[in-house]
Amino acid sequence: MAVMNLRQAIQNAMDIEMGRDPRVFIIGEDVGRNGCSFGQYNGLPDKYGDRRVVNAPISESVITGMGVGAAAAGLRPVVHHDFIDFLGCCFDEILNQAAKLRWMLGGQMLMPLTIDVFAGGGSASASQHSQSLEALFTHIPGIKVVTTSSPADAKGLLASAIRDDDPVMIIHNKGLLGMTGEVPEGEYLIPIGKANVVREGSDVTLVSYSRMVHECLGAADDLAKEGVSAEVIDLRSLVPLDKEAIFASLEKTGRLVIVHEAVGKSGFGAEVAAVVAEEALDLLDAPIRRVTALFSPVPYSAALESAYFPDKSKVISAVKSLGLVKQ
Amino acid sequence: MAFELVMPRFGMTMKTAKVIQWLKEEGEFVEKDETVLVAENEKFTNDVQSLGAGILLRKVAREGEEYAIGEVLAYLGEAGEAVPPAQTGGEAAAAAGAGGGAGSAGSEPGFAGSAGAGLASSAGDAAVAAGSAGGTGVAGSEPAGSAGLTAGFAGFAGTRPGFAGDAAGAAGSAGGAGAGAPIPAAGASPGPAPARETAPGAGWTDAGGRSRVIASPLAKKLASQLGIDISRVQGRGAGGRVEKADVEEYAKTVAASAAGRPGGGAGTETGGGQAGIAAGYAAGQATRAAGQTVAGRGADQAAGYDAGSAAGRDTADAGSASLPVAAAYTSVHYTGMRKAIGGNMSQAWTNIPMVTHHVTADVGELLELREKLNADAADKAGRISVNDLLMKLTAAALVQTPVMNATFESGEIRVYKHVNLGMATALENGLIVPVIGRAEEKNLFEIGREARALGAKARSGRLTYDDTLNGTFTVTNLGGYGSVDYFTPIINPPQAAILGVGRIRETVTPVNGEPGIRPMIALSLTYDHRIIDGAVAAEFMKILTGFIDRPFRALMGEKP
Repeated sequence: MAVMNLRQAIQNAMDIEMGRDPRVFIIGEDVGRNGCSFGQYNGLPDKYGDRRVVNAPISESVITGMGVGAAAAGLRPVVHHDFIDFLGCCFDEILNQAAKLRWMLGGQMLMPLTIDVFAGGGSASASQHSQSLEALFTHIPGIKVVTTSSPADAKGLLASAIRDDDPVMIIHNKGLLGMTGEVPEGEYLIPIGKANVVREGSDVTLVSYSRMVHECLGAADDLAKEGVSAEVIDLRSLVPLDKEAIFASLEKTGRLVIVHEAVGKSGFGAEVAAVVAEEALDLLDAPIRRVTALFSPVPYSAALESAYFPDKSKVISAVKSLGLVKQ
Repeated sequence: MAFELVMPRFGMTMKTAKVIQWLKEEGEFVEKDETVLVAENEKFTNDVQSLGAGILLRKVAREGEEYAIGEVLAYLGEAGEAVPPAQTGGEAAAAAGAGGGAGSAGSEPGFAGSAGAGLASSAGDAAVAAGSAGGTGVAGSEPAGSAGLTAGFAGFAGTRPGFAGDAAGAAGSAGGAGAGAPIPAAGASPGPAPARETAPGAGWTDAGGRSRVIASPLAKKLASQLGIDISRVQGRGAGGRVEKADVEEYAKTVAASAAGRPGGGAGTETGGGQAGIAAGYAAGQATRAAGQTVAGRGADQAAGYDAGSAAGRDTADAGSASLPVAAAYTSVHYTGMRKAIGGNMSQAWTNIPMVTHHVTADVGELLELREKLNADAADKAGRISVNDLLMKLTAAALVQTPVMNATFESGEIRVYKHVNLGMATALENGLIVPVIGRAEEKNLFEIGREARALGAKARSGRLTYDDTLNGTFTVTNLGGYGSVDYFTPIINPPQAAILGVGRIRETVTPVNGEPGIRPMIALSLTYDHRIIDGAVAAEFMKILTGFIDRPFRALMGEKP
């Protein structure tokens, strides 16, 4: 085990994967020798050269389109975008090309494309640099969508994404870039499609992913002091979704609170709630609650932004609203 | 030829009645129409009479327990004649009306199939506990229904649906034939009478008649598996929602009360069926709690739990400062008369556009009249009350305004030829409205006597269903409390109107152009505006207050 931060974990995973498979390459804006926006590829251009760390012009459409073509031709590209907010510029490449080609061609080709992207707010970066848009992509059949909540997860999930023969969007959270943690050394893979029970509990299940996992853990700590035992599940993989992990937890707790940084309306929490209502209603002993961002563009003001995003105290309030803590 | 004595219907809303007392013993001769036992439903105490003459061969019903309409209470016949030893499954199902118990078991044999192996060790323990607590009593006593329930319980113990599993198997072997063979058990066992605690078969049959209960899906599923009528469970979740813990607590209460009965709880004579299952469930939960760290849902919960479970939670709850919920309030079940009143009031409030008119009437002459009438009364019991006078005058006013003496039912307005005057009567735990029939034909003294007799009967719980039938108008009098002037009484459906009577107060009021002090009474008339308009109601109140102003003339038959 080595202690590293999330950007170092990404660098570590990329280094290992590029080292073991010459088909793996990076393409994106600001990823070259002059340094990259978040420092996660530092050293790689020097080690692997310009042809494997391709510094592209500022065109998401071109970058993603090149990734799709390279993947179709047999390479294993990692398309990097600094902000999920700008994927609108290359939405067709994702929606109609990456997601569809393997299916439309009857499986005659693979689409081993990784789209590595940062999402999330909390740093007063305003409406266009703070969003969590994962739900837009979970709605598209043909793409896997995974999220990371720790350095170790970033390494293990990125490696799995690169080795997957389908397009995988891996979404990191900018708010966790500086987070440090123990990361297994050498090759490390976390299976896509499996959730992670990060804290066990018996009274309520907090289903979350990405940065909000940590707000849930904080809430669980505080709730424990009030006699409420909260289980925290990090979904890790939104598509495919590990429904069994949620159901198994609800069998213990009977109560579900879903927490994500994205806005609630048509958010991924709605999908989780619907799946539970359809397939596991009888496990519920209380209504489902969602704790999400408010349905508005992310405010610029730091004060407003902190009121806008979910946090530990909002999670605790939601849990208490289920009647778990009697005053 | 032996014949059955069955539970009769005492009222339109009756579903079950409780046997209060046997008046005849086995071996005793019973005349036709002679009272054999006394039974009580949500509002009335009634005599249950034999439809033929014969010897009481066997008492089937037990005192203190509930029976559905048509259920066999006793067998009568000639001396030495053979009668069925006890209720069998077939009869129980038939007696329950639509065979609800057997039907639900038959339609849900999947309980056994879906039982799982989830928490293997505790499931095993729970199933064994079910077997030893419920035992063969379960299988034998509630044939079809409880066999299904037993299997259902085993399914719960498994907790992980979807696999045929160890839990069902364990229940089958520990619990005897019951769980293993749900359907054939019906009618096969000449076992003892079923436990009557909540009569699951009959209870579930009446799904259409029960009001919706707010309960979590998990609580509903658990209640269904345990054969508990969830409308009897007090909800303590947010907004009064029934949650799993509430059902568990109720199950333990049932188990405890079964254990307190002769032969109960242990799966013998009366303890089968639900009680046995509940006992088994409690035992199973205790096992689970002991083997598992349960971080506190609070000491409040532990207070209501059995010893095993509480012990399991005590450690986890140490340091919890919350007060026990049980100490904060007393839980009163919303059942019986309370529920019947609530149903009527809600129905009226929801369906009827009601208007209330208020008016004050001078009762100076009425009080003088009463004094004169009572001056030579033989005893106190024969004295005329203000209420008697108001009842009499109301009946007279209704004769003058027939449309007020009406009901609205089955899509038609029924205007009555006779005044059947309801008299709202407060009881210790509720309210009942006995009726004075043909009040307009009765003189003041007859009305007074009848009102006193009905009031006494109501308060001693001896009112019969017949005493409350066919009311056409109701008077509700709060004047006696001296604390109420006007109020807005709710109509007693399907009647068209109700008169509320408030207190009499010495009031400064103009008398012949000068301020004078007169005793004034507050009257409130609520009417159904669908069928009565304001003008008609105002006219009625004008006539009534006119009669109250000049009661001598009104009683002598003068018309307004």
